[in-house]
Amino acid sequence: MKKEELEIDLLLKAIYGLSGYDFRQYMRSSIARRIQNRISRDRLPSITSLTEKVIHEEGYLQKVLSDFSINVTEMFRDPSFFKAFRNEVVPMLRELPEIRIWHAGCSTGEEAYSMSILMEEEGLGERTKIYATDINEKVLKKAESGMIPLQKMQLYTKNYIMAGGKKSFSEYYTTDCEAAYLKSSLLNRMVFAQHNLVTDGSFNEFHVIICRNVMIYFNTDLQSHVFNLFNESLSMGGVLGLGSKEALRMEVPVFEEINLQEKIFRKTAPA
Amino acid sequence: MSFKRKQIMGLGLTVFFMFILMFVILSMVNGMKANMLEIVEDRYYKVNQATEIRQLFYQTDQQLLSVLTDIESADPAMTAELIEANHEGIKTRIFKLENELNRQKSSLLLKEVEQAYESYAQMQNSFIGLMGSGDLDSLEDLYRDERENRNSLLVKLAEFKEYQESIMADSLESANETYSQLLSTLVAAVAIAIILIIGVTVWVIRSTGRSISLIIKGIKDIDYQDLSSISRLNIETKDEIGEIAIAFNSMADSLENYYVKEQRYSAEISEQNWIQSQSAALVSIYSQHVTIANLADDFISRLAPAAGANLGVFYVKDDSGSKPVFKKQAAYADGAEDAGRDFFFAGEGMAGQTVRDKKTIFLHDVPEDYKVLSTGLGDVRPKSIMMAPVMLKDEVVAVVELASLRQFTDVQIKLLEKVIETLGIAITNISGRMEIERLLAESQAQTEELQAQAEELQSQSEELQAQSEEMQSQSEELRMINEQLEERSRDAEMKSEELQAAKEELEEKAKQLSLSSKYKSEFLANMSHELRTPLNSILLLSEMLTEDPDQMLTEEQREFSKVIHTSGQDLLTLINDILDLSKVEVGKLEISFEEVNMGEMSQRMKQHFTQVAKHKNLEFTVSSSEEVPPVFNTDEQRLQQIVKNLLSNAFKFTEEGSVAVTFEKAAQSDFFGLPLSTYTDDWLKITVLDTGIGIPAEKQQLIFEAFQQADGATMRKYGGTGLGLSISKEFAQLLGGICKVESEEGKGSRFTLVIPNLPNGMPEIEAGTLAFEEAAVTAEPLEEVYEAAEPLAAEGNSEAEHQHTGTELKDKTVIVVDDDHRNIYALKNALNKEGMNVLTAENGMQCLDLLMGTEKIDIVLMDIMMPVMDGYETMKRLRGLDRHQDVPIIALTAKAMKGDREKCMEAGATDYISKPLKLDQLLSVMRVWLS
Repeated sequence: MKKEELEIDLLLKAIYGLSGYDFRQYMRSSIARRIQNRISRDRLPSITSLTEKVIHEEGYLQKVLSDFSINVTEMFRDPSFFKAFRNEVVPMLRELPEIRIWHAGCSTGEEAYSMSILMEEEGLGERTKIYATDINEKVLKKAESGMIPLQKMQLYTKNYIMAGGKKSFSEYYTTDCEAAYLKSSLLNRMVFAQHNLVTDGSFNEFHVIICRNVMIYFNTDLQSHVFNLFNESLSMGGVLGLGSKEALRMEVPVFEEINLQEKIFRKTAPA
Repeated sequence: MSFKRKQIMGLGLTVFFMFILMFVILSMVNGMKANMLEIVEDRYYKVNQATEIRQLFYQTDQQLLSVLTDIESADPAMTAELIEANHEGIKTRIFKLENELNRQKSSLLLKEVEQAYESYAQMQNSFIGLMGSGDLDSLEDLYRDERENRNSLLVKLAEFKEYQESIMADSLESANETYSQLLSTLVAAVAIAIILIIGVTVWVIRSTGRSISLIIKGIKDIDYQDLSSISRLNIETKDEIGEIAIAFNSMADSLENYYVKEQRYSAEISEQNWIQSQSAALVSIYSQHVTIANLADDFISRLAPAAGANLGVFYVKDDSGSKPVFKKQAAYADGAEDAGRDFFFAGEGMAGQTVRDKKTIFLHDVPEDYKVLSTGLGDVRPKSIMMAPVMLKDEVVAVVELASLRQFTDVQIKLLEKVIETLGIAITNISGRMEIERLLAESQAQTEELQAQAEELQSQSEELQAQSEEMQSQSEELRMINEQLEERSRDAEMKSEELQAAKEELEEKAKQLSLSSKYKSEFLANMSHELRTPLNSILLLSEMLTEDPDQMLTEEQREFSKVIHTSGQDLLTLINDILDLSKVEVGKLEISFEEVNMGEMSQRMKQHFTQVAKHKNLEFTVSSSEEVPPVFNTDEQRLQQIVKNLLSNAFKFTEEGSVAVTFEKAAQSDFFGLPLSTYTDDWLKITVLDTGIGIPAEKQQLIFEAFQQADGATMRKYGGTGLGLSISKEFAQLLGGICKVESEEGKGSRFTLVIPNLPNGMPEIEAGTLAFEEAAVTAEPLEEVYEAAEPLAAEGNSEAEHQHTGTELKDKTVIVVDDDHRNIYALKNALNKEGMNVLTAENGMQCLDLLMGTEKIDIVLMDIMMPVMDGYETMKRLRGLDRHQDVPIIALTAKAMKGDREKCMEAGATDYISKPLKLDQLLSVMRVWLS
């Protein structure tokens, strides 16, 4: 067990040295499973041999990196969150001349798309700018394309309706025989950029930060680091949305609950 | 003698004396009264009688004398009568006096008077008798005879009176004597009584006053501030005062007693108060701590000084091991060295015994070798030690041990016992709270972990899905190979036959491929031919009409034919563009690299567009830098087409200002990153600059896509197909270069073409780079081209192209439920064109009938407002059917109806779409729900 820990340490160090991506503060259990997964798939004898491949085999690092990035997302994932956001957060945003929303860890962008649709329906589309960031450039490319696999659209339609959608979901996409394509008017107000929550700092002041089911992969130190980053990046009264299973870990209470069930918080004290 | 008796006696004596005094006075007054009575009633009476007797005698004598003197005038009768009456009076009085007289002498005197009067009385009687005779001389004789007697009588009578008067004077004198005697006796008696009374009073007063003043002194001497000793009264009399003294003494006893008790109680109370305040201060910290270590530390550092301890250790029970162990949590004045054990088990040592006994243990005679207390100066041995168990219910949860250089006092012990009473609860509460917090953190971590696992699982399952699909195809392949191998090993001849057949098949396929390629070419050629032929005649004829050599046409008709001509030309350009583009994308466009004269090139451009510039009243410049080589190796035709496209584009969108084209040698930065950048440094840069409407930033990438202009309005205003730029882009790539745009909306645009000098034609470089991937000749892009062209195809209603579109929709069965025939007709036509089987129903009932009677239904388009049975009802019933209850239903809702969507979803709709319908949207939704 200890040996395995050591091997993982070495692997993560190697990855950090080679790519600049620091997974050392990620949840060990999750990282260990990802590694085990890769090892069993490639029939490797040990983590060390994986490390060796990462260091010496071209392209292998990218493979492992994409293993580490879990890209599970849906449009209007947890519809009740979006419903609560629509009912409880949007009224607070109405007065703002410009609304900046940051989706941290946006993966393939589905939640950012959803937010774009939501703001459009609330009549705030023109004023909204959505910054969707992820550590993984490959998924960002996908996100930028606005292309959604056709078979996922049924689920997304159901989510959209449950999230209190005001129009027909079909008004936001066109299809061909393989995929649905998000309307370009929705994509236009989104900026996709690579951003690493572990190493990168704040890059703007936002009115809303959505970071859902990202921090479940981080250990508590990294979580509080990220919460500080969010705190620095939020304007006064700014809103922070977390995943339904996540908890807000701040040593100094600077957030008040807007909706505890949906994990929506509001910044009440200056950073 | 009692005080009461004394008083009674004193007062009694006084009364007694008063009585005696009164008795004496009364007896004396009585004596006096008797004397006076004797004087007044006896002597005075006797004197008075004697006086009356004398008077009466004188009266008689007088009468006699008067008769003698005047006999003639004397009335004998009357004189006789008077004398008789006087005689009687004298006789009576003498008789009375005879009875009264008690003294010898007086009786004798009276006898003599009586005898004298007897003789006088006889003469009188003789006188009376003679008197009647009138013989005066006789009478005178008679009287003279009696003269003597009469004188003696008078003397005797006077004598008697004098005697009686002397006796009366004697009595008076004796009365006076008695009076003075009485007076002196009275004075003496009163004086004696006064003296006696004063004596008694003084005795009574003196005998009580001393005791009372003793009592007063005793009471005054009491110190009310200190009642510990009160001086007692030393009075031994048996009276009430004595009793008071006794009572006072007993009161003093009880006061002293009470005082002692009170002192003891107040000491106890102040002890209690001290314990209470100390314990309250200690107990108040119980709720201030969230960890046991903090509580223990705070507790022991407060308790030890309060309890007068010099050393204190706090052990808390730890149940986590197999055996409960008490671990040192905090210590007071704990030395740098390890003072006190770090832990002990129940029953181990004295501290352990405390746990076992559940009782506080005191050690007073600490053995010599016992643990020492460290001070700055050295180590000392504690004198007294106590170990107290902290209880909760019947469990020992902690142990407090204190050591002191002095004996612990009762109060200190009580304090300890008091504060540990509730400490157990506090410790248990805190450990409970800590446990809850730990569990909460754990459960939160677990929840997050679970979420992470779930996401990982989902992503894994997605990967697995992909893998399994891959595996399936692989196993399919393997099976095929296996089968082939088996067949090969089984029958060699068969193999050759197979080979033959395969070969034939291959040939057939090759034939088919070349055929399809031929079809494609034929199609293109046909299109070109079929379209160009009529177009040509249109162009020709319209041109002819425009010229109107016979002057037959009106101005308006000429204008019409001009429009026909320009439109025809546009159409031709479009057809050419489409052909070019499809050729490029199919990879069929031939490129021949040759030497191009750049001078000629720029000249040609100038010639070509000067006319247009003039026409639009625009400034037009063509400049060429000196660095531009005179000869450049590229495909002249394509280059020319690109520049032409860019220029016509610039002129098209520029209303005023200028259009400029420059030829220059490209700098390193212009072609950096291009696939051929490493191959050659010799690049040409052609820039077309205009002052037209410009392109918004977000549209700049879009304009290079096929059939795209900045927006639909542009299309309407400026015309054109929007293919020019995309063709330019494709050509630029084919020439190994790139076509870029920089533009600012309203200011103008700058299109830049950068191409390499390739004297040896296109070099063979490895595939995989972006530019070449797009240009690579594969079967896939062919399809993509057609798919990308789909919107156009839909407009064009080309049957051929429908073969490729809507693969998901083709052969699917749809029921269109709508009461409007026109809608049904339009939808039926549109969906038929997608290759779908369309069934129609005019209302809900028909729809349900249709569903029950049809084997395969893929999707239902449901209007809501219908007669007979409306959409909601129909959907509800449909969901309750035996078959097709899961069929996707797209509700067609009226946009204005609020709450429509919710009602639709409730009724069982799968999705909804608002009317008026947009065909593209409808098809998109259908693809989603048929996927």
